[in-house]
Amino acid sequence: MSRPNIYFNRRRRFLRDSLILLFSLLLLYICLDFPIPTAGLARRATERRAFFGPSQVLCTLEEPIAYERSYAVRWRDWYGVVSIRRSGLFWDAGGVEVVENDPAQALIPMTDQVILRYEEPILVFSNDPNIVRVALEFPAAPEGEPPRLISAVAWSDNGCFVLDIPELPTDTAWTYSRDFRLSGYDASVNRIWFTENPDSWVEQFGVEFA
Amino acid sequence: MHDSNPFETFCAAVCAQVRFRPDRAAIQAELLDHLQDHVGALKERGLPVLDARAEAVAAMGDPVELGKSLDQLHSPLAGWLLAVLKWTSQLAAAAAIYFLILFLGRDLPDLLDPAYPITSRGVLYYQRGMEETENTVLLQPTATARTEDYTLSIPYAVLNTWEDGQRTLSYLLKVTHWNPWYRDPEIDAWISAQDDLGNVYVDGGSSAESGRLADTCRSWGNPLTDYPFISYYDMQVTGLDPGAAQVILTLQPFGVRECTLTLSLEGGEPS
Repeated sequence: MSRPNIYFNRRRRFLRDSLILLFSLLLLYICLDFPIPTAGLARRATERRAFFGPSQVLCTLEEPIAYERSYAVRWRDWYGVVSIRRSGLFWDAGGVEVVENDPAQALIPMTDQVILRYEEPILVFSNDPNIVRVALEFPAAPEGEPPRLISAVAWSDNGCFVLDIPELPTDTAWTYSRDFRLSGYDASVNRIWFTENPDSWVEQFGVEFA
Repeated sequence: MHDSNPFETFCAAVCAQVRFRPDRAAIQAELLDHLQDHVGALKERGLPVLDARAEAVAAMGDPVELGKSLDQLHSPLAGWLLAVLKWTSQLAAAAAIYFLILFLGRDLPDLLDPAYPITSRGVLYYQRGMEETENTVLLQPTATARTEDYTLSIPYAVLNTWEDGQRTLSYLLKVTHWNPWYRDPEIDAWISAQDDLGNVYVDGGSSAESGRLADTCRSWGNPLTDYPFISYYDMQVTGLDPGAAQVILTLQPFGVRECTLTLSLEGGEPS
């Protein structure tokens, strides 16, 4: 007996359904504006758009402000933060912020200006592999109260320190990295590198902190 | 003695051997077609109906053997995979139609009636709210320049000479890219200009060699619009040296020279 038609129906059904599936997925991909399937590809696309990288990821920040994920990275003489967005099940490219490394400095804060009211963590990169603990301090002056020193501490063994700023006065909107006092400690918690008290502490706040 | 319904009995015996139940109905229909065709042919040759039915069934052979061979062709694994493929393709098709409707509803009005045709040089004036004047010169388009991911070109460039003698070069920068994930690159922040007299114009108002005002001598711009494979930028060089005859635009991100575009400021036609 020759092969029944239903065998060929199966082949035809397979071809038909496969074509419908492929065409539908292609149409979906276009209608969804070419989404990026993985976070790694989104990070790479973000870097390519910024002519940055390929970089080495030092640490990952989940759900930073305005983005769903950020990567603290290093590339050549630059440190940077590559941020990407969630787009439903997929990912979308975001932005790149960079700071030029200064090998003469053991600690490099990521940004010049920190918007504190967003409660965004402050990133500090280390050029000294012996530094495993970083302390960051800056003054803040609540309305009608004497200024006080805000401090944050972070530990890391990969040179990337993510400092969450605790208990900010409500009217502290922003600060500059020039107002930071940074200290780096080794594994025995000996302070092995630090910056002097910034002049702005006295000029702006009128107080000489210890 | 004749079976009262030999076809049904035969088909049931065949289908009982087929493990993939969803295909049994189709197999039965096909077998019945075969049998009825055969019966029709036998009746034409003068055989009585009952005998013709019995003959047709007998010609099909052993129903169990036939059922087993059909079971080989209709394995449950392949059958369920086909069923999953069918459901998946239907689901994907429904989703595609839904998002296509959303896509057309959102983007079609802009595509049919854009605020301003992007490929027109008028977009340069539109961006700045300025009019073409007798002091406006339309420059020749440049050749293309390529980076690893992008191809840059300047389809339209105009040179304006103002009443105080200052010159402004405005150009539409077209960036094509094969990968839609790379759309809207940060090109506008990295393009500097240098004229043939040695003046350098960068974003942020860096100084020019001839010591003219830094804040008026700039190369800068903004993203205009982007599509999956093309991004447009509205760019300009302000405070151009009146003696300059040529401008070299350099894309140099992070100190790495990616490509250059040369634009002649002479030989253009009045707009």
